[in-house]
Amino acid sequence: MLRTHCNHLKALLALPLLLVLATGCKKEFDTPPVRSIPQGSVVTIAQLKAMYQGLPVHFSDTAGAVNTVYAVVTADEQNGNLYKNIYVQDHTGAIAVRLLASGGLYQGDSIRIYLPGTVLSPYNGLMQIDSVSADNNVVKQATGVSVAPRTTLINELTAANFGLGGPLQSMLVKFNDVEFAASDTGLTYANAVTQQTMNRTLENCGGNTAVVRSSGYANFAGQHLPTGKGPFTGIASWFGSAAQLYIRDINEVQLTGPRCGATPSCAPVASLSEDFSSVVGGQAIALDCWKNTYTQGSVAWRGNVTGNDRSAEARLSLGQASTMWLVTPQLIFSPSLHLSFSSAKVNWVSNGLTVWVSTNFTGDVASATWTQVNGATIAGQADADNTWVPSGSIALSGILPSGFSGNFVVAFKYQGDAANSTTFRIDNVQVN
Amino acid sequence: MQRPYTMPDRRSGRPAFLLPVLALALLSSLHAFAQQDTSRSAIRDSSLLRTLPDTTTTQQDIRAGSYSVEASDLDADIAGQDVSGILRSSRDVFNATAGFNFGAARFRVRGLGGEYSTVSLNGVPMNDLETGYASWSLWGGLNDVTRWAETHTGVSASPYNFGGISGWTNIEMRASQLRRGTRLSYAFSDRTYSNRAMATYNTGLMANGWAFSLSGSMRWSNEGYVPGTFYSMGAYFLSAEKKINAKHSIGFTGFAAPSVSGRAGLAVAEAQTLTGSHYYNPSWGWQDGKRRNANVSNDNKPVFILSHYFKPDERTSWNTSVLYTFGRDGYTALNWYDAPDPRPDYYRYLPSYYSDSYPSIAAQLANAWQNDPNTSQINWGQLYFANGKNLYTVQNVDGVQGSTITGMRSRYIVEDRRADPTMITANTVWRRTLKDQLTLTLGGSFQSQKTHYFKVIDDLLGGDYWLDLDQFASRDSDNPNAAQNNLEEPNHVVRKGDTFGYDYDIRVREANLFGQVEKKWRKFEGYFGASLTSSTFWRDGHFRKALFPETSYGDSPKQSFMPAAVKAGGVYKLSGREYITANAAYGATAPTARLAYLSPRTRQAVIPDLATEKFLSGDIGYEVRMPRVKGRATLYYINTTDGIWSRSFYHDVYRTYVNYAMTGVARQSSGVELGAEVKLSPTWQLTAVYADGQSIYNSRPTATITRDNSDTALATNRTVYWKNYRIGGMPQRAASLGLRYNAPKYWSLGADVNYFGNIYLDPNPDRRTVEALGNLVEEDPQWNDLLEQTKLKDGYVVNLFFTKTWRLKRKYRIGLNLTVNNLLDNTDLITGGYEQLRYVPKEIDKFPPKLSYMYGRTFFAMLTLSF
Repeated sequence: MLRTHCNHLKALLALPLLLVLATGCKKEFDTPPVRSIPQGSVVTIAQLKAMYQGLPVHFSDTAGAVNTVYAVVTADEQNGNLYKNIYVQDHTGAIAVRLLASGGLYQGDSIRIYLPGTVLSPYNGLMQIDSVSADNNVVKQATGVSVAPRTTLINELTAANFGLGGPLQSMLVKFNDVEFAASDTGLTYANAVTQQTMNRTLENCGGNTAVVRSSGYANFAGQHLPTGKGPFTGIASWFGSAAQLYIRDINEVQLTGPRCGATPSCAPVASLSEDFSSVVGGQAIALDCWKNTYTQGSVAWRGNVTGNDRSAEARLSLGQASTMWLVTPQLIFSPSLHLSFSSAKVNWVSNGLTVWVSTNFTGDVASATWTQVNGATIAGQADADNTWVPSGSIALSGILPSGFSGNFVVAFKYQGDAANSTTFRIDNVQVN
Repeated sequence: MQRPYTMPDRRSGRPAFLLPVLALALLSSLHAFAQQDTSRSAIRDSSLLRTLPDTTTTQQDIRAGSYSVEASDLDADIAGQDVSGILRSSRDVFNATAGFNFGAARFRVRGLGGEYSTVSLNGVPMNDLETGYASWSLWGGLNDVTRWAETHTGVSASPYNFGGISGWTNIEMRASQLRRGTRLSYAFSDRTYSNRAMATYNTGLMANGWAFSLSGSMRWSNEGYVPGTFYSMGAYFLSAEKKINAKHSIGFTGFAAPSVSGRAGLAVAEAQTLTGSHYYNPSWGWQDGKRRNANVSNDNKPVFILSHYFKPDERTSWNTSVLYTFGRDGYTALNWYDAPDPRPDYYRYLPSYYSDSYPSIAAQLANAWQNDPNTSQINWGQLYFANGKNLYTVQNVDGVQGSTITGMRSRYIVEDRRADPTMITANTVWRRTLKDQLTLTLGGSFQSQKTHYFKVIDDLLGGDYWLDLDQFASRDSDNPNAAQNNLEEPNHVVRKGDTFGYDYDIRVREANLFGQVEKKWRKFEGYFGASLTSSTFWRDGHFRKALFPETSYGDSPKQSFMPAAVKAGGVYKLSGREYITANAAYGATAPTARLAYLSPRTRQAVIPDLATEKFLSGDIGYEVRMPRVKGRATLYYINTTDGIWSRSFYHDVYRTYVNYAMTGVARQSSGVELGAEVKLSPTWQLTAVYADGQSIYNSRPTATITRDNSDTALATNRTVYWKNYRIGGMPQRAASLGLRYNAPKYWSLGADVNYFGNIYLDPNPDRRTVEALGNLVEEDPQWNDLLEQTKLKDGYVVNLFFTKTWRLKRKYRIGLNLTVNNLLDNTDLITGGYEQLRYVPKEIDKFPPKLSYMYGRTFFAMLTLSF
């Protein structure tokens, strides 16, 4: 009796084990073969924009037709200021891209846009590639590619530059020394509560203005507008007959300095970095807390603009004998400080640029005591015209008196006359 | 402007019998039922004229209530079986019929959910401490050993525990109690599974004092009734018992029912119309020529019970058990980051989204829905494609400065949402019958449960990694760290099998003491019982979420409650064959952790002013046990107050994801249960069952709306005008009439007709507020659109069955069972659904209800060999 039971038992004991084996596993799916996006005839953004001849351009996948454009994403939707909309740029220009669905493309993505299925057409003067699917029309080539903003002045936001057909439309731009208009004081960028989009006015010290447009969904929408003056970076978009600036990253709006017309405090600073990006071509340089003057002749250092490059330039006026001084703000000495800058020359006939330091400069060049800085490499006869020459890093402790503590200034002094008429430029002055 | 007075409560058409202690005859109350209120505020049948789309995942995340239920094999189902399973195992005519025939329509005993019913195994309570209800899927497929459960409906005396107000069930798994023999069966069907094989062997108590029971089963199908569903489930069971001497026995029981199944999702009517099927399932799509389901549940939770049975004398028993269970409970779902919604039935992908503004796009979409499976179902190929080219560089990976990863960042993944339970329970019950027909029962239990909630990557769908960020958090904040799910490991890069998203335990401890006295007189039997429970729960977070750095990590404050309850009842014997019964209970239950936490995935915040729920339950009945007529008629009344309710969903007015919590929720159920089995002749048998009740919300709860991303209150003390709205998701009226012919030659043939009525969709509370009505005047049709509760169509189904038994060599018994359910193939009977919580006050059709239909005609054929 018992024996029979046990025999049955043995057979049945195997049952649970079998069941576990048979049911414990879950079906796994393979990764299917990955589709690829075809590649074909490539155009630049400038060429692409030129294809618009008054009617929307529908791209097709016909063999041989234009179907590809390469670009870098300069503004994405991450901060909520743009929605289903990004900006891309290459070396020839920039364009707005309208997405079918939000998300997936990020600032710094180097992308290939496959155009078939998309439409090129302007909207209120803004050229755009419409109906782009981040999945089906875009391949990412690389990430983290940075595009330097184009330094621009507010009065350059013209229809010729940024309007429909303008070469600069939708580019990433940077304005120096701008501020929000006094009439906007106390306002937020947009209405974060009702999520309404708002326009605000940005202006420079000359009274030129531009519109900054921010979405109520932007993550900075509820922040109050900064009250100071400083650099502003954004996308120069276009609507109707005027430019609209879009902030892509609120940290690129650093309006913290004194407003236009306010007297700068000019307290001594521990370091200095000046790239002269706010200068205006041909106009005397007037940087806060710098001293730009002459002790001979009638002209001082002036702004120079070559392409996108801005610098300070010492150039004679009608061959008039001149001595020009460009003096930095007061710097607090510390033993580790080094000076560096770049210089360039045009039409060399003689060396006219020298660099000096003073520990008792109070605003008058003539009454201060100056010590020459030796050891800086300055553009000379052997260098090509218009080519930047780095000065090298010069330790200031070797130039100022031993054991010195206190404040000092650095001066760039130019001397020339009709016979010694070389033009010099300086840029990227750094003391740190 | 305040004008709550302009919103009258709905008239309930309240019948006359609602008092718990009532002595009115059945007839008068039945008459009362016939008096339906037809005034304007009566609940109108707005049924399914509304056909438009959806979005929120909220409801999909609420596990209960989103799957199909099947009549013949409720154990095959994961949810919804909490109550029906109880019915099914009962021998009471009403309960048995309601279980078999009403389960398909999600009928609930007395309108109550499973949390009001106590389920025990060998006397050990099995209700999940966090949710309150017992999951019958734990022993799904072990029909052979769980078949003979002991079940009582409503408040009653119990030798095991205090019992719930809906009833109690005990399943005895003692090896010595299971009928000796072997049973083998194979079934074939076209319902959730297509094949079932089962084998059971019980030794009974053998001469050496041992008893063994072994059982196992497999159920599987490549595709169930609903397209895209599949089923693969095993079950095994071992019980051993040793009788040490006349007084002591010890037993061990271990079982599990591992299962993997592809689920069916609910859809809006528009999607069902476009695809031409009420069984449209948005959960699957084609991948390499195979149907792949995104929502796959995968559970394996073994249970072990060690028991000591002590019988010091004939009149005394003292049984003590320790139960331990652990394992995995998970279901997969799609997740996505900064990418279009991959669900095919997202409301913006349906033609109706464009029908007003762009009819041509709507037409194109409709065409695609009808002809392109990559539109109407998940487009897996597109998800792989998108993932395979989303080059992305993560900076400061895992919080390590300077560490970067560049690769294909998945925009879409399949994630496995886990709720792995661990529970240990110790239970002891002492019971002694004293000489004077007085039986005393004393018992106590201690339970400790930990449910570990977390997510793991199940499939990166062709990408290289997933970056663990909360995309909704970053939108509302300019804090660059806000999106971090875990500040302890920011910028966490996860791959298959890695934990991400959220990671926390819900821990519950409960201790219970109960006592019961039963006394028998010649014409009357009565009982009295009392129970005291100490319940504590808390949350233990393992992630420090950036949005809630102070309230997401570590142990939360403990929530403790000490509810008590009493019950009493009796039977008066009119004669040996007729009885009058009456039962009542009054007491409280602790709020469940499941409802108490506003958003347990992100933080430890609980509903403000948590309190115990109070209940009052009573029934009075007449039972008859004549040789040719068996039956009962019962009137019941149940009232619960101070309940809580919480859900999370996207709120279109606040335009953010909110946690919606209500306190002061009261429910009331009252009605009648009739069941009769009549032997018309030695061969013909008639069964008639009728249930008619009214389950309503019986208060104006107070709602608090909290922004999910910041735990700031958007609204407090909002009054929800919920009074007299019907509790939805179940038929409040059901009837069954069955006729069976039992041939003398061991075969029988039968048919039954089952009717279901008064089915409502559960009301969305926020639509029933002054705030939702805004400036509408009462004459505006939108006023009613917001307030009306959707009543679904009544319907009926016909079932047919045939059984035949053969005997071979007097030892072997072969049985054949054939069942055809829904013979007339009625595919229009809506048995479930819900009003979406997301709604736009003046565009109520934008997020219409989601619905599920009863299966059409199905069959079930089974062959059994037993010896």
